[in-house]
Amino acid sequence: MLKYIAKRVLVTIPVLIGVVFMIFVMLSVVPGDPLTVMMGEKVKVDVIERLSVTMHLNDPWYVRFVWYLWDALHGDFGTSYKLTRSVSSLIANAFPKTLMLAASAAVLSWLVGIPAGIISAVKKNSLVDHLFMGFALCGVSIPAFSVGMFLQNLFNGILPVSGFASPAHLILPALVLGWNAAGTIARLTRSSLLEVLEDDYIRTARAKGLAPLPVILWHGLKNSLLPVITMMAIQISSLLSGAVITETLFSIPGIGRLTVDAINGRDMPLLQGTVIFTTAVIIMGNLIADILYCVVDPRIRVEGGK
Amino acid sequence: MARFEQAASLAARLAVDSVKERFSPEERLEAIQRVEEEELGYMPMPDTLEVKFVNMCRENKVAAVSAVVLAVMSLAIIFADKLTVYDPNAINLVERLMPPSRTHWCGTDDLGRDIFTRILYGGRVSLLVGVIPTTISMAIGIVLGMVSGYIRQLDAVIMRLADIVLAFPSIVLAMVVMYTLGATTSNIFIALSMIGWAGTARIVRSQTLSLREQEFVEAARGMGVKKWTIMFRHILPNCLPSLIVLFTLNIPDAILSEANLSFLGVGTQPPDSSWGLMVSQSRTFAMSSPWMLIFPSLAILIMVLALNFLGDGLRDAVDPHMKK
Repeated sequence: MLKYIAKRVLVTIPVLIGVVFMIFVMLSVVPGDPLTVMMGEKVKVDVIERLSVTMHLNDPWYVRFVWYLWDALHGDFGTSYKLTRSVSSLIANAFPKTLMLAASAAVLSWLVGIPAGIISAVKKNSLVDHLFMGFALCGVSIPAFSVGMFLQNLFNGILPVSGFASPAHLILPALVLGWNAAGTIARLTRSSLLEVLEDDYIRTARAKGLAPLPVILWHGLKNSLLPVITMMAIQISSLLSGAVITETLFSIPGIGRLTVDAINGRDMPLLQGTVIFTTAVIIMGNLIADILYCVVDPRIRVEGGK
Repeated sequence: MARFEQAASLAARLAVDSVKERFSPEERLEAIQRVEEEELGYMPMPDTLEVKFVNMCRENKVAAVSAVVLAVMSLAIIFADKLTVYDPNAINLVERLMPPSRTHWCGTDDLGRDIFTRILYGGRVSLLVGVIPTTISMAIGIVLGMVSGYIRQLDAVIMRLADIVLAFPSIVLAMVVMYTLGATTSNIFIALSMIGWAGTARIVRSQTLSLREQEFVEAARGMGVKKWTIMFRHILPNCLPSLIVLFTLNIPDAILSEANLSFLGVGTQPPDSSWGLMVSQSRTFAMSSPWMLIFPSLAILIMVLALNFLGDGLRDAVDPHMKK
């Protein structure tokens, strides 16, 4: 198992470097002089020269890439052009808000999605099943900002519809972000529980005379939640993706909003920093999920460790 | 061919058994089929894709209705200029923010433009964004996936590249590509193609890995068939059913991605319209003129929902293991 984990961690490193490289190259080809974006047209020549040296602007791109990687490893993503603050501090400020939003959406999606999936599986092809699954499918079939705008208009005056001041401000954004996730979880729980419920050991448990509910919840659910755990890890990615939309719509000063602001302000260091940070969080999340999965399911431990 | 020969030999066997006098041709045919089934283990020919599709429509009414809805919507979008008398971009400030009525079926927007007309024309962008990048990204994904699964030396490189692309949150990567290339409709195609290939490549790779070990591929290899011919003539056709399902399920993703990009301001640019852009433009007016928000949202919902239903139905039809 240790071997598997070590292998998994080692694979992560080239991916992380690749991510930084890809973003770095893509943003390097964008036309425009960083110093002009930073300080406008009227700058003294000696200031330009001094800053060009400290920012490695005179070096070729691959030297700058190594410098960037070196600084990033030390937690330094440069200074935002527009906000004149270090990108790391801006990210440190914004990330907890995104984390709170994503966490509440995730918890919401589990609390709603898993029970809905169980009920749908147990009452397969009933009206409740079709209703739940239809609702789940709608959640993944409509853009989040459409739903968000509906809710903003519906709850205008009842709930806070923009900003980030109190827990109440999180209700609508979490609902918008959570619906999509809950739909995915519910569909997955249903299909995986249905698969497990046809297994022989479930029939044995039933034949022994166990009540139907304990069989489903204890024997069935335990084995059907494995794919759901993997899905939760994949969810980290979709929640952080979705946070870009939700935070823009509800004016939450999180990391998604910061990314959009960086794009609109052509603020390259900030954009680089937020994108790389967000992706790194996702990679780490997947890594943790993989390790968790291997702790939960011994089969992977044996096959993956070879 | 082999089956035909077996049947012929059986018929010959039954013919010598002086059954000719006692049984009619229909009865003999029945007997042949029965023997074929019982003794040889009758192997039905696998259904062709068309047969599978027709069977699916017969069994799965929701998928059938979805296919019809999609066909009607696509036709309406393609022949938009025949269905409406209005110009999608003609500004008419006298009739701004009109509620739905007989003259304006879905009302008008803040510049007096007919919303129904704009939905039909905006659908062209959404439909193109659904089909073109999905086609490109899947073509790239198929080639890279097969190469990765068949030519083992290239596997690690291609799969690490796919890992990198898949590590990004998709909207964020699309935003960065749009920022680098500039926000135009054709760049949306490029951005979404650059992102979408990785998922397809992974799926095709795993199928190639299992197909390359099967006898028919081994036989082809033994006969000296070239690598690329094996990949495109022997492996690809066997991946086709799941690729069709994947194609149907990737289109709605692309449509939603375009909507999200347009909402963030790096997608379709005004005065062009797409459904996503129409929804996001309704932001200031959604309270007083809800039709501006409702109708484009419904257009997206119906099209994406229909594609998802159809994709689910196709998956059940193509892959009986998934069906419960």
